[in-house]
Amino acid sequence: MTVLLLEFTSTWCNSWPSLEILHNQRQIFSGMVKEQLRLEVALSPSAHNVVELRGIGKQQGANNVWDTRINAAGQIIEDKTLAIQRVELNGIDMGTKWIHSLSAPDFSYGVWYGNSTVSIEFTEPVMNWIIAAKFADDVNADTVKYNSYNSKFNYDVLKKRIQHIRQQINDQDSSL
Amino acid sequence: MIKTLVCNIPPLDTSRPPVAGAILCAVCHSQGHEVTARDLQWQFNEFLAQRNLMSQQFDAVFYDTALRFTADQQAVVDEFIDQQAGIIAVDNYQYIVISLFSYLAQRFAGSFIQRLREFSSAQIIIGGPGVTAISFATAENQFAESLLSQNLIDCFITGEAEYSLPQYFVAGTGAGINNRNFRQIDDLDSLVSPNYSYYNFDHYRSPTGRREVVIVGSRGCVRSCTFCDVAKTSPRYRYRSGASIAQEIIANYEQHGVREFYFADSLVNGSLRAFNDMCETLAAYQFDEPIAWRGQYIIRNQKTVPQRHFELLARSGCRELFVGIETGSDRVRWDIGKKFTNDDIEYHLQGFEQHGISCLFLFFTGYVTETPEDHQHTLEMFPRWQRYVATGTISAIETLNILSILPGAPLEQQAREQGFHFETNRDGTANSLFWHNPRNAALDFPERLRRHLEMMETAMQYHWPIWNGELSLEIFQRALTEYHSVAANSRPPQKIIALKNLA
Repeated sequence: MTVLLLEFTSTWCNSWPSLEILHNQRQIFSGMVKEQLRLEVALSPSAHNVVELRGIGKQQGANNVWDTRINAAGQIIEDKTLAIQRVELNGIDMGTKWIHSLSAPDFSYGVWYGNSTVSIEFTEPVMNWIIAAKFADDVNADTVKYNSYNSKFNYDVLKKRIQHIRQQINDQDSSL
Repeated sequence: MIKTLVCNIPPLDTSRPPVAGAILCAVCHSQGHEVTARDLQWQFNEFLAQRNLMSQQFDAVFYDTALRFTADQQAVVDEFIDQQAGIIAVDNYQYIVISLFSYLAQRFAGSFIQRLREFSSAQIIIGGPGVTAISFATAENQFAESLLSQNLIDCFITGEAEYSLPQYFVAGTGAGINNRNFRQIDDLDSLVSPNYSYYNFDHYRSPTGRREVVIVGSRGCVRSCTFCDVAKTSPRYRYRSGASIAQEIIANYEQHGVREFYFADSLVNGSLRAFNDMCETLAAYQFDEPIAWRGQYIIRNQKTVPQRHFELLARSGCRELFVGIETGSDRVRWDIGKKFTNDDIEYHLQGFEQHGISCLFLFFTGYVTETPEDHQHTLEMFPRWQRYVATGTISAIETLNILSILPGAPLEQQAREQGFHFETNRDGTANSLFWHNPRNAALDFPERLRRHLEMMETAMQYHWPIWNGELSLEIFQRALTEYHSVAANSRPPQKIIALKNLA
């Protein structure tokens, strides 16, 4: 079982932003986010997981209503937005860098400025997925051996070489 | 005024200016010399870049004594050496002081010094760990003595240059001058600080892209781990005061804009008092931009480490610690002399996590007393502490080393007393890598290698980042080939006569 924790903050304009959250197409939350929301939920066990965050119910000109208010100088004085502040899986904080890597239309650096769905996909074992998601994006197989800051997850190369060494040991054993 | 040149020899890390060179510059300057520094590693990289050649191809050979330069590569190296010797000769130095960081530098140094002797009439002095360090080739390194007997150098310095080099300038003879009976310096606070103003910081970049310098806060080691031979070169542990170390860091920040510091100490927290004083001073100093430091750290019994220790570490700028965990077995770790347990590691990991400090675990498999159960304990560490990898507290593991019984290490004495046997090299010497412990007969070299591979596979199964993993496997693979070659030798295994070091 995986425990998902989500924290959001929001800003108001005409109304608070709405949010619907689904896990593998099953709704686990639906409602308004009034200033902030902290949601902790134990997800149904599944090898493959898709968490969809559907926001934010912004009226973008429908019925001539815009959920953004601008003053005479062109500055935004009120806006309906929703921001992801924290994502934790099994108590592990995914961190700001990872949140900022999420992408969707009208959504950047963890903030919805319009209506869109942000998807988080992860697999079991979740701890392996977390490590890969947070750290393995630096992988660069071409990294120079003696300055290998980015080659900590060069597993394919390592596995191949291990297989080769095993063969070498076995060949020698069988020749004795 | 006496003109002196300080040279550093490849291979060297180019992420920071050479600390040995900076120390030598400061020492020569303190003797009233007009000093110039020449970092031949940086010069060589520039030389290669001008010819559109990759320095990494040359590094691979420099760092691996089993490899040889191709004819084309050798021609490039020779051309560079000729060029540098010619440039240096023009300036009519009275002294040329050459620093060898490790025995790997001997290959380049041998050719360079030979050419330099032809071009220059300066007195040539060599020093540094690479002068006397044991190489792949010889049990007892005679590199320096050999150069001296051929009149290619005027002097070699062993031990600590802060004492021996001025002594040579004045008297031409003394402890550590053309002999190995060097004198250790007790009061490290009285020594001159490394002077980096002789180097151009723009030539060096740390992995973070910022300026970084090496700090030496202590010499020798407070522990005496059985596998380690540091006591051979630094028999006594000596350390600077925390205030002195902090002042050096602050001075580099203020004078050169350096914000990254790397401790070369065996253990940055060898003396807790000095370490805490340093951290307190750094934490209290008003840096306009935050600094960060990294270094090797020993985990201690948790009862002696209060929680505020971790908070102080973080406030002082500690970013990453390199920790010799070595094994997952408390029993084996105790045999090694580490004096801490898995519970102590857990306690420190919690403290590190709470304060955003990361650590890199250093490991090896197949210690002389390791049983299959001990090995199992090592494998169990990977799932147990996986969460600390996920939080970034454990930045990686490094499993680079194969346990060899180093001459001068406490384990050598143990091996003698307990009747270890060694495979015999073709030259009749005992091979320090291929040992057999009669009290743990199942742990032969292939079994140690099997455990190493299993450890790496388990690390990958739990997604642990592996630092230098490919290099580690290359070393093991080459050792296996060597083992098969040596084992096929018809001579029976022998007790220690003379160790040949391969690690």
